[in-house]
Amino acid sequence: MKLDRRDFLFLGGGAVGGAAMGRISLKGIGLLNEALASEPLSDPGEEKFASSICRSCSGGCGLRVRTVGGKVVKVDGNPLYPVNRGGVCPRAQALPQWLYHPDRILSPQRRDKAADKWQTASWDNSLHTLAGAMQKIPAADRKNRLVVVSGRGPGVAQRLLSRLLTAYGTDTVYTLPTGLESAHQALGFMAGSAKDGGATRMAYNLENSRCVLNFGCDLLEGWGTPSHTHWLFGRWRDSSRSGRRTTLIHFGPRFSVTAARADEWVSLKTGAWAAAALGLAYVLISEDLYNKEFVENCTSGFEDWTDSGGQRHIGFKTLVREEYRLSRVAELTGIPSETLVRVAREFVNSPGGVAIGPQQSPSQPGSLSDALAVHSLNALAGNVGARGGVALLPDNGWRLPEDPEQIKTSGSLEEILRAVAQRPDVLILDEASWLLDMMNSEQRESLSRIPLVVTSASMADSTTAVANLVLPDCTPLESWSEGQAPESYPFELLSVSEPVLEPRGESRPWGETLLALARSLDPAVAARLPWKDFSEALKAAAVPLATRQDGYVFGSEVDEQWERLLERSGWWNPDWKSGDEFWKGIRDKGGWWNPLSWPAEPQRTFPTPSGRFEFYPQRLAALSPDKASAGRERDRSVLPRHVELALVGDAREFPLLLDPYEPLSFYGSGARAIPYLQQICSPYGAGRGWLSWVEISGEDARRLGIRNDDTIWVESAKGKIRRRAIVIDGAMPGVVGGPLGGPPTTGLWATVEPPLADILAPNTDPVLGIRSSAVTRVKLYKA
Amino acid sequence: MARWGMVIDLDKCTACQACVVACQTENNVAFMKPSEAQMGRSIYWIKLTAFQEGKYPESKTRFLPLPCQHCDNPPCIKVCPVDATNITPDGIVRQIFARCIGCRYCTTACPYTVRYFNWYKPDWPEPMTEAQNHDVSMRPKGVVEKCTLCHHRLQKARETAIAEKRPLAPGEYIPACVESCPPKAMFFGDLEDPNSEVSKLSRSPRAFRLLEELGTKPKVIYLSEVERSGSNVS
Repeated sequence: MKLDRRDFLFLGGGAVGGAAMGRISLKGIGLLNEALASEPLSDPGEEKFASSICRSCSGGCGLRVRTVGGKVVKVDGNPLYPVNRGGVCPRAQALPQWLYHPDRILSPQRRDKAADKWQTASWDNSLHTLAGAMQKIPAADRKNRLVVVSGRGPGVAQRLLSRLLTAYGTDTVYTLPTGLESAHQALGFMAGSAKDGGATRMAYNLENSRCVLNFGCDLLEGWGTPSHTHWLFGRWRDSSRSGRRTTLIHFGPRFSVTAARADEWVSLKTGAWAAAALGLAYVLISEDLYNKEFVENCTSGFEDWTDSGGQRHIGFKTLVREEYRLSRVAELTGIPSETLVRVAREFVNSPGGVAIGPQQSPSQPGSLSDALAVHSLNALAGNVGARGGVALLPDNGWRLPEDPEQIKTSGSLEEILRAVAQRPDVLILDEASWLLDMMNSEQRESLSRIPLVVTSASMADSTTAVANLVLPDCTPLESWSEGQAPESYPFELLSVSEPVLEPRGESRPWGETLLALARSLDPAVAARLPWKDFSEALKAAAVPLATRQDGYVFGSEVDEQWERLLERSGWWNPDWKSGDEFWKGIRDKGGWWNPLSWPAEPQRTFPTPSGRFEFYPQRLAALSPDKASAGRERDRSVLPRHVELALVGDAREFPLLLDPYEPLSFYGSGARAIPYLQQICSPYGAGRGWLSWVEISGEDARRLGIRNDDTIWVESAKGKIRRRAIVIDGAMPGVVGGPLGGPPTTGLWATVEPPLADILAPNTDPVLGIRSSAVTRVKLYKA
Repeated sequence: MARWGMVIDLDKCTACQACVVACQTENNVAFMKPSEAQMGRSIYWIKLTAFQEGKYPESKTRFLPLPCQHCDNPPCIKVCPVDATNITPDGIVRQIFARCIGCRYCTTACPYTVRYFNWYKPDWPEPMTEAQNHDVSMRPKGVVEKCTLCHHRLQKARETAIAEKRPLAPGEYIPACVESCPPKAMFFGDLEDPNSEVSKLSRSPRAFRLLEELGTKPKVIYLSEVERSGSNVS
């Protein structure tokens, strides 16, 4: 007889009645219940562990994947991988749900218009369609008529794309902003780019920092490589390690998780980053606390100076002393003078103070003037290119043999939107659902006028909603993956991993798709990408690296300490003797890295026109849009300075400021349809998920009569959207936190809601031409 | 006999919730449909809770990862009419899903509210079932579930140790949450062994247990946040 639980409980009810007669007890029911429970599952198969590299964000953490009977059942951090050393963020933990998601696209899909139904197509046919559309564009127009936007982190796949596009005749690849654009460029102006003119990346040596002044970066949400930053946070607070605990002081208007977890949260007025940094500089200068040795010997533009034409210029010191007195800074920032004095003293109290920021989020990388002000604090502390500080390092990422450096990569959102608005003939969106998040409904609508929109989405997402051809990629677990030192990571690193399992259905790794596309385009393009498959291209990129005279194949933390010790005494013992041995080594152990690639000695000279760190960046002065002005005004426009945030709308009508940010679950977009990530999307929100929200302060909520979980209207001069309210008592009144991302808009669990971008009024940095801030004036009321 | 316990360093916790997702994937924790999740019905064997103290600007928000506390004196087991929850000799408060009749006395008795009732039949759309962990049994509608300290991992580690004729080594058995923690804020081991890391940490002046005054004697021990260095600069 087959009993289900309901029948059984019904019987149980009868049995309780019967229990009065003393025959059956509740305990007996429990035992009977157990006996009737379903049989344990049959033998699931052999258990194996494999390593892989995550691609949920551009950080690329090392993974240890548990498979049972060929199915992935658990993903954890790879303890040998130097970036994350065993721990791994929830995005990677949720990879099995991405791999086996019901919304996965398992074969190429085609349709004529975005409104039509999808038709399954063959790979040959689909590639033929794309190659045909690309070839139809006359050679002279190829620069503008094909637009490629990719959110993939740098690596061999990106190199293949660049090579293909160069051979085809395009000159730009648009990439996801890293968020470090402004800070990187500001440091480039002040501390100079690489001597050989090669590409650089900006990195922080946070492991050795002892006091971190964080100007608005969401360190504990998605900044940098999340697992690495979280690992660092644990190290900063590890009482068992010798030395003192690292202090984290967070400046920012929004009460982020980082603000809550910092040692001190200094709330300040929105957009007043530079004023706060220069207020701290004022204290350091007026109390003589700055690193005089570094400032006198290694910087220029600090004191007043005379140029070669005999023109007098004001120095950073004069500017700060005259214009950023504490009373004025307190007014601009809302930070009490005492706090500025106390924090400035703590910052230089011991070596290893570093200032990071401003913001450095892909949606708001901060403005150049703010970034210059933050870096000037690093110069005053003497930690540019020093232990625990910030530096520009050569970008020694993956390269293919004989790689031309002709392609331009642009992480400027404004440039992408402009390129897309020109209605190219073909638009290729590769891991680019973040772009749709940044577009308002009107901009999304305009995509329907592009004849061919191609996406590489592995799962139904916002790009498949606008596309008419899908060339489905697979998860990193199903393909060869490569990693390299992410932006902000202090050491050089290159890694590879083999597929853990075969791609599901007919989904195909993007690297293979690019190689196949090159073959379908024309022989000239195919000749530039001669590799049979992606692993061969990877090997071709790896083998030449064996000639390196530095670094090691990955090992444990103990190996790392030993290697550092040896190398400090002048020893380097290579782990390989030939190219093939190197390839085998990195395949077996996961990669190569150089734990000593951070400058051993503090940097004393800088590749700038003056050979010093420039408070008055001469290269910037040459670019400055304010060329007409002269004298003091002109100097002020080049030196770090506070610039009032330009906001759209009337402050009386829209009294609150909406500050958009990216929560860890949705950082860099993607991952929206993954249930486990939806259920943790806000640490403040009692884990609800599947609905976008805004965070408002307890004081504002009481004043407006809004309660937790209420549905409210968020209205700006641009429009209005409905959101769920999360009330945070500790948040600063006047500021509204607005997460990007939210529920999936397509697929099994789709929820249709207007994007946050519909009400945003973003600002563009006048010098860099990139989006610097998206803070917008809003008002809130109950729906 | 070991006495398994966990230490969570609140000073190092980044509120990232990697532990939450690690636990859910390891233990086949069912997820809710969007409409149910919004009603707060999602199941978390370990859950990040936020405590807000005071109002801006004199405010503090504390994040606390909250698993079953595995009390030495658990109130939940005393009320179970069918012995579906009990305490093992090595101190794990276990839940025998198949024996549970869904009366929910235990969810009411638990002062930490870490026991969850399955209101619905778990809905795993194909092919998400492929990622299920065969070491952990699935829970049907109508039973209570909670953290088991990844008891299946202990069973496995113990079987291996017995097969190899040796005692269980420290670190051989670790729950999924502890293993995943990116800032390494979670520790796990034998509280009976005075030299184990968890024992040492549990004697720290920062150590405290939740609702100790109830006499539940939890074996999850928290380390309070630390005063910052250099705060004497003025």
